[in-house]
Amino acid sequence: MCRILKIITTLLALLAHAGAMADEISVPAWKLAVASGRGVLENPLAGRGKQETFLLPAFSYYGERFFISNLTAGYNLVEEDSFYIDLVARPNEDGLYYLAGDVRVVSLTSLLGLDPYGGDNEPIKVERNVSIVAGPNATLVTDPVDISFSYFHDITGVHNGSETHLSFNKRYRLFGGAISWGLGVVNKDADLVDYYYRLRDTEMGFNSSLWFNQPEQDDVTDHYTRLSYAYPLTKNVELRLAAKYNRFDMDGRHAQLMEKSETLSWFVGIQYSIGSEQ
Amino acid sequence: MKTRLSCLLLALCVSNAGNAAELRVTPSLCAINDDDSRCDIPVKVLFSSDDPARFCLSISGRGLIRCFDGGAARELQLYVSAEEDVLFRVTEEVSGKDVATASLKVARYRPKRHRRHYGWGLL
Repeated sequence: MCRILKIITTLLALLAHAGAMADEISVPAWKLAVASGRGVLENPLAGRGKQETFLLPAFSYYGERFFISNLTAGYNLVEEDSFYIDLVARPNEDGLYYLAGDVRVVSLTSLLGLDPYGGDNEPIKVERNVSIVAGPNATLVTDPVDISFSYFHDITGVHNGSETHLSFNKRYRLFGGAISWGLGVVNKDADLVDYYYRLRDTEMGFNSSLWFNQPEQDDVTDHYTRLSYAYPLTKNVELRLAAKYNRFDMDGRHAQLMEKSETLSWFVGIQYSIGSEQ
Repeated sequence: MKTRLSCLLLALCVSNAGNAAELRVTPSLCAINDDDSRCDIPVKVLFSSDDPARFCLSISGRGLIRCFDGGAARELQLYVSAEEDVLFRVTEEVSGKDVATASLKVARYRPKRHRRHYGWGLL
């Protein structure tokens, strides 16, 4: 992972010499795109490996005020040259990790039949729902970097938790294409972490190992780095590369539920798009 | 050499001054919202020429508006309804030769928005 960080740092240093793009869209505009290629989505939850994908769809719509960008919908309250404020709603990312099916947590002691309480040898099934979080986002737009701050709260009553984002993003021209990067810090409060990353008493049953590893209820602070590059081949076709590296704070998370403290997801492919957005 | 160049420029100026004709359209730009189908606007057309010949004002692609005598400034108030740029032209009535042109530009206003950085979440 250190090597990946070094590569990303080198790329970011290279970008200092590239020109920032006037990243604006004349509205109304929409774009529907499908990328075909190969990618890997790494899931940090227990028992989840790397999920391979061959398609990556994308959709965006920007109206006078309302916009959709993939899974995010928003309403623009203020739009100036140097900053904008939106009200945003989006699915919480932790819930998405559970979408690929139930998570099965295996306890080593019970697997080996060493549980002093005679716990069940069967792996336990953990199910969690996807929540929609919503709230304000404020972004300061400058030449070298856009700085965003968001506060989102669960509006679906799934966990009643909230998350706070601070991120740095920018898109530049590079080698005839466009490269965009993002660095972010996300704080998730104890209610959210408790719902997604601590086990219920009923789930742990009499399994001492699961009880032993149950963390104190606490908030977490995760980090991510995102990098993508698009190189136009024709008017509607472009080469697309995207990668996202996540580093998770494991302190408030049950070690047998959340196996990986780092994940790397990526996609490389050819994207075909239609729409009025350029 | 300098004197010759000055004489040449002076000669051009005098020659131009003899046939000076000017056509102005005010305003020269009509800005409409992207969802508006056309620009509807009153415009002032001002033509001036030292030549006392008869001239005709027309809109390119639409036809004749009016003919009038030159030698004095002429001002017309028109109401324009157009989807695209409108080209006004003044021609000599007898020869049909172009004397002056001016245009009313129709510009569609499309507000701009910063591109958002909300990704897929997982990628």
